[in-house]
Amino acid sequence: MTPPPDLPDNVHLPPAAEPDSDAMLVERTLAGDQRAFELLVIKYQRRIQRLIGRMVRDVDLVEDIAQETFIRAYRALPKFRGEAQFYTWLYRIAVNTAKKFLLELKRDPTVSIGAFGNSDEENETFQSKNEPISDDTPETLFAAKEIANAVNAAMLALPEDLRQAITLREIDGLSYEDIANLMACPIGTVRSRIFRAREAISAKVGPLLEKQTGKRW
Amino acid sequence: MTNEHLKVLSSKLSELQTAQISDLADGQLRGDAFAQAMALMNDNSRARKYWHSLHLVGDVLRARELVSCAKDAEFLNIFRAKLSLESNLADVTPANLLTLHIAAHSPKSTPANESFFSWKWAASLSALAASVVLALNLIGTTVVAPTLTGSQLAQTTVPISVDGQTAVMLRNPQLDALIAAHSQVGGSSAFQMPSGFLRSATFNATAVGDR
Repeated sequence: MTPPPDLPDNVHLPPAAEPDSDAMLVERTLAGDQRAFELLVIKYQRRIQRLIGRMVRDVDLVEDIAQETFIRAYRALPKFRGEAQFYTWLYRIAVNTAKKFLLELKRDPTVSIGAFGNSDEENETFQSKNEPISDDTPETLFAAKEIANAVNAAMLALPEDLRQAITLREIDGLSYEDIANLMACPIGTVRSRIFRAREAISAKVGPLLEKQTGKRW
Repeated sequence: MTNEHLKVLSSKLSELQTAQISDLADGQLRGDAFAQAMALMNDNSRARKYWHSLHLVGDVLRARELVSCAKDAEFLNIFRAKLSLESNLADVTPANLLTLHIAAHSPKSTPANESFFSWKWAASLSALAASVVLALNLIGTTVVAPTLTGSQLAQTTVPISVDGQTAVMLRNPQLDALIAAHSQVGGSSAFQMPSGFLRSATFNATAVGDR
């Protein structure tokens, strides 16, 4: 596969502003493109479900609350002023929605106490004894493990410059400009390296995902 | 090569398209480039699948426990159905937004079967009804009760004959007055103890006094 040619610096970017794809998708949604909001849902659904899974111990409820969270976020989007990151704002909506559900559940005598989890807010990466619940079957757990192993193997197989670029972007969350400074290369090169790294990882992970999520997107 | 294979190959994303999606994920597109990428995402389910895979890989690299994705497509499809019922945000004018805001913050209409509603109102209404009945009863008693004369009040004993022996039955003038009052408000006394019971009680009291 031929990598795309390196682009000149700042070809797509305003020089001062840090690009925020979420903000652009929000703007697009506000302009009437509901599909743009779906892209945000695809991006954040796992994180939001995991966050709710720490507060509620019922698998079906976790999904319902996550759905409600995204619907509430969509309705409230005109009030989103972009002062915080979109995910920070979405996180607050998820926590409030989960708390509201839990309050309603506590009033319902037919619901067992087992449905309630730890209602304290926790970071989704925080390891606690109250692990989020999951309805994963042994098959889906195995498939998930396969995907994780494939990602790790693909990362190890990457050339050093690609691995460094994707690590700085995905794990450290650095901007293209910062990565360019760190790697002492033009931003266009950073962009190309990140793209090629993603292509290489997708080539390994894609067939596994096809098996798991081969439904309509 | 079968038609199915050709279809799959033709629907595969080009390298340019995957590069566009990668740039979109990192917020690197502006203007026409952004619009083109969005058009691609709207028209092509493979593009959305690739978008999903990019973010899944990112999630896995950051936190391995976020790898579970078996239900992601199903979740999106359910959400898409719900989203289709929502109004388009482009139609939400500031005036509409104010209305929505007021609607969202006004007290919601309470279902008739909500527990706190029915029990509170039923309890207070029945307490009020009971108070009214008691008050009417008392008023009736006070108003209709005859004024007893001094001679009637003084009459506290009545001679009776038990097993051939003459005895004196002690009478309580207040109880007599009460019984007399009840006999005149027989209508409302139906809500309470029957007056016959009161007379029996009077008789028993007299029997005790006989000893």
